[in-house]
Amino acid sequence: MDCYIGAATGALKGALLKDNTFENLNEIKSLDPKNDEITSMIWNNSQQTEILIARMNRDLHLFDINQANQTAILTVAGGTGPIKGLHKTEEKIITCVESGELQVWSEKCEIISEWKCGTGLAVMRGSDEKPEAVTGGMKNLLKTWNLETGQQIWSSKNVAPDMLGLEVPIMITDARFIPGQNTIIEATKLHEMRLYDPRAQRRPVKRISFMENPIMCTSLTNKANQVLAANSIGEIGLFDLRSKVHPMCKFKGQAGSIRSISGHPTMPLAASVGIDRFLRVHDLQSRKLIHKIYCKTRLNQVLLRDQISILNENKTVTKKEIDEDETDYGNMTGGGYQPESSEDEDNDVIDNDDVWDVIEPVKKKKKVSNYMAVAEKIVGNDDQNSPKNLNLKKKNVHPEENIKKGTLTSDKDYDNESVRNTSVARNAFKKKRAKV
Amino acid sequence: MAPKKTKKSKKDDSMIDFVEEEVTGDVDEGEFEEAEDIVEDSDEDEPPKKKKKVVKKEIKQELELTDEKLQELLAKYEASKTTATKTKDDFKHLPKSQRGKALKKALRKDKRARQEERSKIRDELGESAPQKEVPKTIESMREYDPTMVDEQDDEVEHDEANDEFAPYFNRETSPKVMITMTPKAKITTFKFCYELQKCIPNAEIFTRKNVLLKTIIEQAKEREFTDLLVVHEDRKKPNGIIFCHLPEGPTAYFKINSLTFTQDLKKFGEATSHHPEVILNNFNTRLGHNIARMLACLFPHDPKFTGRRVVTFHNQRDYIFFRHHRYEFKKEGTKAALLELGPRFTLRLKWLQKGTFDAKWGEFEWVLKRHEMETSRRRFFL
Repeated sequence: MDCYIGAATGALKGALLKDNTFENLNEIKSLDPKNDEITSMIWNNSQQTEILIARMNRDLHLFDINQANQTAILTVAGGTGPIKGLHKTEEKIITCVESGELQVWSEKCEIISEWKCGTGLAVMRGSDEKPEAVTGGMKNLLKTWNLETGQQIWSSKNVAPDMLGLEVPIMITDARFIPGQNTIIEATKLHEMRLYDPRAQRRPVKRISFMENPIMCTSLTNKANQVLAANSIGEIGLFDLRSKVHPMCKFKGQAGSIRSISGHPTMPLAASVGIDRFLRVHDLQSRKLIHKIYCKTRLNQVLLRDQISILNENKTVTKKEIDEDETDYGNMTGGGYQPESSEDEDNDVIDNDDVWDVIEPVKKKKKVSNYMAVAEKIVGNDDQNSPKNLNLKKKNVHPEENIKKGTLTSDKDYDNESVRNTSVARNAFKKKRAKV
Repeated sequence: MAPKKTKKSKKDDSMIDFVEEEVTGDVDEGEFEEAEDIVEDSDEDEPPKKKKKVVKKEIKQELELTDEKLQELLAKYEASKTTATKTKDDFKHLPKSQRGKALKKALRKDKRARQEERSKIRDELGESAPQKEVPKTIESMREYDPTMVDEQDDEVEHDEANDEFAPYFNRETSPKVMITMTPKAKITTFKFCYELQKCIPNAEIFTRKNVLLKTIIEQAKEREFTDLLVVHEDRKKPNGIIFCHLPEGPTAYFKINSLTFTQDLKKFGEATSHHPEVILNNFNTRLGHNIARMLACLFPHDPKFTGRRVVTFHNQRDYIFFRHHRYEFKKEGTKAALLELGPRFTLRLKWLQKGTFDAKWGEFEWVLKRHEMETSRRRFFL
């Protein structure tokens, strides 16, 4: 199986992308959607052999992939509402319910600690690097918590009031730590994504708006600076957090709201599910839809495995492409964008000494003044004198004076004047002819 | 075209109330002519009257045919299918502006002639005549849709058994419908609402009076309404309808097309107060199933068959045709006569939303994205 999908009916599905098929991993007929709906799903270990599943009735199940069986491990008590966030550290399981009770469970399913993070919670996600979790929701600002001590590390501040001086409502739908950057990305119902840097300030360092509908979920991709986001009418956008162009691209073809996206950590692939009942796998590099599987029920959660059946065949090709891309980025960030390095130029000059000699005197002249040089040239020409240039000779006085005053800006103007003179002369000639 | 002809002939003797029609399935397809344009005429759709003649002649001519003649006739039959006798070179004497029109006319005439020729050959061939081709219509060439619902699909069945309409189909709730309209609705909209009330039993009309839809929904839930219909208008005419199932949703928005009021029909009857039967045609995909279930929820469970009243929602190319009839069986049940009662209109689904009406923050299950989704003329969603 490549993809594991949690459905709104409570069914757990495994999709095999190679064959474009899916399979139900539990008995459907005994399910009751009001209790068994899957609200949240994560990998239980880094080898990706076990899945933690949170259900609507706040039971936590452990699904073993190899043996394909499900065991109930614990039931969350206290607070109200479904489990909105799950996180697994090495030995602990962290759960968080809608009313804001965050609980840390030991391996033996005993509560180690519990604290409140505010009501109306919509999301809780942990960090892979630090023992931290981020929470947020409706009227509940983004906060980060230390999972060991249970203390609040940082809290965000709402963005400034809008142009009418009204408060901007807080409607967080999704939030994530971005690995390796110490930043947090937040998705809101106000069709805006916000990037926070807890080290810098409490307000967002960047705000990215996307289309016109509430953003429902976000996802990381194989590149550290790229993020996927999807909204309530099924538009998925790919964003580069450093660029000013948003979105980088938009994935079309989804009919309904996207509930969950899962990006592949090394390959440019992302799986998305939603209430239009389809699982879609997109290639982020070619920006094409690779797989589309109809899964028959509304889908809530998706997990994409690291080892996918479709990748074994063209693994070498895709990997090369990624490497190239990354090296490009390395150059860009290291020394800034430089069209040609200075060393190359020096080498050229050394090779062609003759050219260097030719160029130098010109440069010296240019340094004095462009216009002066032009003026000198014209004077020089006049010395050689020809009957055609008689007109010009009179005008010569003007440019030199003008240059000193700085009114004439370029030698083009001068040319225009001469042209005008000739045209005047031509008109006079025509008049004469007419008289005759 | 058959029903129209009979209509005219029957008009003369005004004593008869009903218009006779042949029974094909639930409702005659001929009624829904609006969307029925055939893509490629395969020259096989002949009026049904000719069929009877064929049957009679078959018996006589069966014995006369020999093998050689049969082959000859078959070849002739095939040839008359493909070759057109007129080309555009035949019209070179005409000025350029008239050539196209003349060619079209000639071709049409030619087609009819060949059709007749073939029918003659069919008569001669009798039983050994080649099979008639199925006409190629947009519907018959419909693009493959993976969401098409199978009859025996446990998962879809389970999904439907637990959806928002399950209480109605389990007979736990009985429908109670609230009809309202845009604030400051004009007279045609009111008229349409009254027409709807006539079709849907147990429906109440409320004027909107500038109340927010979300507060209406809350109040409707308290008063145990099961459905809410909001008629929208544009330029003083109803142009859309929001259909919200209560208490949990979903919400659908339909565009209203080609609305004809009862008074404007050529012949109409008075609706009775019997609970109508509901016919839902051609809702085959998963989305279509949902919409059909939603529409079914408007009407009470047990239709009173003595009323002989029927409400039809017929889906054809994603347009849902609404019709309201009284029927009567004629000739010992082989034929049914229909009398139209209610308004006629066509609905087109624009979006379906999960939960009750919340256009700004809600989650959409399906949205019609015009150019993104309409990749082909043969792609349908319902």
